[in-house]
Amino acid sequence: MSDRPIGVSEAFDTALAAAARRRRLVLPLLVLAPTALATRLMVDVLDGGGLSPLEGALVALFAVLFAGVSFGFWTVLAGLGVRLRGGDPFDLGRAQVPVPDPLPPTALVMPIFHEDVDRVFAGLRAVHRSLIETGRVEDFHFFVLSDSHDPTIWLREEQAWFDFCREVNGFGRIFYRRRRLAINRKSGGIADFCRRWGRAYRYLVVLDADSVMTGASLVQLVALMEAHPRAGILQTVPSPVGAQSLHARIQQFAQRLYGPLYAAGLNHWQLAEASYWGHNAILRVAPFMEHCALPRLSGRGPLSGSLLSHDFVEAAWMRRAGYQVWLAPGLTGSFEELPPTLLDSLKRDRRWCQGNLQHARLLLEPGLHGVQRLNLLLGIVAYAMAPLWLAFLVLSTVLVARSGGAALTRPTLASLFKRGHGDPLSHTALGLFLLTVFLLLAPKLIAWSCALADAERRRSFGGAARLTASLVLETLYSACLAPILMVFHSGFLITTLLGFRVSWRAQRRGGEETGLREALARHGLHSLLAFTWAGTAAWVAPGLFWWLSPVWLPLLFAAPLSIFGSRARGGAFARTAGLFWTPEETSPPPELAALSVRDAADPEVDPIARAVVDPYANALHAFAGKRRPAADVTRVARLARLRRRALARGPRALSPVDLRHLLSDADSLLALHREVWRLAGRSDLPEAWRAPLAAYRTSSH
Amino acid sequence: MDPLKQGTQRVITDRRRRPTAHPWADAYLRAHGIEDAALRAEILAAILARTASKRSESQSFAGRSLEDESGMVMEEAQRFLDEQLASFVGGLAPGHEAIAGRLVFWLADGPAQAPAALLDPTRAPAALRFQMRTARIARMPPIARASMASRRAPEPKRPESLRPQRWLSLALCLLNLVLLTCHQ
Repeated sequence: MSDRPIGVSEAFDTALAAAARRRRLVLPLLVLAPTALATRLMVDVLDGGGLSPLEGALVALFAVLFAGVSFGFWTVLAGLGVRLRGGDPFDLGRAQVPVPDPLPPTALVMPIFHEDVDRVFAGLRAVHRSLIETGRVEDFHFFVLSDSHDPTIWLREEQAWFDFCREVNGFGRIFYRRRRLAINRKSGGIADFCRRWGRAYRYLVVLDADSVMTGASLVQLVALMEAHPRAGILQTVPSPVGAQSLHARIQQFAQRLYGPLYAAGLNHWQLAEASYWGHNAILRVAPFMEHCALPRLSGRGPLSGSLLSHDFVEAAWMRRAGYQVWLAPGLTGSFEELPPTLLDSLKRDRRWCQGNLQHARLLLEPGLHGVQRLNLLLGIVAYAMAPLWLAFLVLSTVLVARSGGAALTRPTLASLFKRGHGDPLSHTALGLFLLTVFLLLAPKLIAWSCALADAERRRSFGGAARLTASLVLETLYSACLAPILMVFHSGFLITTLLGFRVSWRAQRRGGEETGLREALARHGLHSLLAFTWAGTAAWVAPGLFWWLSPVWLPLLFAAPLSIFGSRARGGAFARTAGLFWTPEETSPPPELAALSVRDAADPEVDPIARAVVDPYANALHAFAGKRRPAADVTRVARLARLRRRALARGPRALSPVDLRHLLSDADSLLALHREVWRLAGRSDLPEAWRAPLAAYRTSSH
Repeated sequence: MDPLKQGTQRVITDRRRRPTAHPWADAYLRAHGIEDAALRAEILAAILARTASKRSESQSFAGRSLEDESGMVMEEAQRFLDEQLASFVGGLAPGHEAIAGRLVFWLADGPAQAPAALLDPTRAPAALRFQMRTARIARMPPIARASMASRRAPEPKRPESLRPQRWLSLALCLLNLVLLTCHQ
């Protein structure tokens, strides 16, 4: 493949088609060859005069699980190949394309729901500042799309939006909208944006509440889309940043070290049929609106209703419409944050699990590209692997129990040669063991070697010694996490299929640690299961007890592990000790440096009291509030009743729904402001109003 | 001077100057960012004059309690400020000029730059008045409605670029069936 710049040409399309055919033919062969070999070895190990049905099932499970491991290995190896060749000619992120002047109108859209308001606007400020440096800030409009329904949060959002606009003179470029009804959650927010303003923009960059992108990368994204009129979605590979807790720091290190190779490997075979990850990506608005509206899955139950994981489906729909969906692993300057604790990661996984399972109902949609079907399927398989592994382990336990544990001894390297040199069975078992371990660990070792070989990258991870120590500890930690994730994911899958739905809660993004009570509530049952399992194994076959120890031991200590991992102090200690450093920590880009010095919010000011009492804040929230026709007598009467109650007993006397109703009404906010000040001197005015009023008699505001 | 002492001094000075009969109206002016006690007293005098004038015009005010009178002054203060603030804006938020006026006054740093404008808008510097009258506070841009059309399955736009890999679809169908069967 020649290394010519990517352009829009028939030659490019021809080269792309040829590369896609070749790469997609080779990958399955590479994945299946070691799988077939390992399965054959497994059959040899188990076969003692024909496989029983249970052994047959075990071999089948093994084959599926091994294929998953093999797929991961070959993807990383493909990434290594790309790196050794100096890059992939089909990595759009590397392409040099002319930057049009002016850029076509582009909207930066950030859907939020009960997020840390300071963090959201600090991120937007960082992006805005970076765009100013490119000189293209006027070509981008910012949209904060809020679904928050807690007044204390949305009032702060409105205030923060106003302050941001005021600070950067951003009125007319930076917009804020809050939906009263959060229909279809994030995807509904985007659809709502498209319906209202989509026609005004050619491109849409979707950001998460914790996303940051540099101005240069945003300009590059738009230029790439201009250069590739057939590209419908261009997904960047965000680097994880901002981790504080030990768990998050380890995950951040792992993603940062292994992620680039994996992403390059994914791009190697996905090419123009990549996935969309829901954020840090640019979308072509017109085809997105025309072709990517999401279906509502018919029927009842957890696999019906609105789609939770909308992004994969939108990518599949976009491709079906004839537009390409690209991953851009070579494009830098895209960042995101990770969940701070193990339990937060699991909460996110629970949502993703249900969302991905819903895709099972879309696999047979007509007209989808095969690779997009595969992407949907791989999303399902990602969560189906856990129960398969669990079934494999349970089946192994049953088989050993039935054989009386005769074949198992304490796991030592010598036990693999138990039958002595020259025994073909021992060599088979050893070969299988080594092959599995190799495929499991090789991706890590490849990424490590690549980092070591590149002086700049090695330094960015803190040097060879720190990098190696971090890798060893990360491997141990991920080995401990594996069985915990296995039981959780199995539980997610089973509960989803049994009909339990996911409720939409705000994602915790930092600051809070896992307490003992929460840890015991979440992990206690699994620890009990591990204890029972280990006890049964010890009773049935002591050898099995030891062989299964990497599974039951982490499960037994899941709660302390979860608590320990959530500690910011542990993360800080690791950082001081030089562990789990990432390039963004050793030399932070200015956009991230700006994030870390953001001002702390003033916790003393109650946003509700401020919105009612402060004349300027009151004007702002009334301006942002809803104006309803006065002719609606019932509504007006209800609002008047709520206002009287709020005045007489304070805002907290109202139910959350009533408070929401009252504070989103512009006229009620103005009336409350007048009333509170008119009654300012009255001794029977509730303390909730008297305290903020009194502040104006004693201090300057 | 020690900041604490300075603060205390200011409060004492304020108290000397503040008409004690209407401390909340005075506080309301402070809430508008008017730190200058003399200016507050001047504005309050204007407000009291208007209140007195209204009282003389209407007999319904006779025999009201002190609390009621305080409320009346506060109402008049609000009305007075609303009128002054509304005069800052032209065409912005029709029907809600007072809100818009308050916002643009705030945005233009009015309380710090030209607090006297609250007593008499013509006392605002010309540049500030221009800035306020031309302010645009768009929470959202004008709506350009369009529909998200594809609830129905769309027609493939470029059939030549879609090469359905039938064998792969078939294999995936089978896998899907197996998965669904396993789950049930």
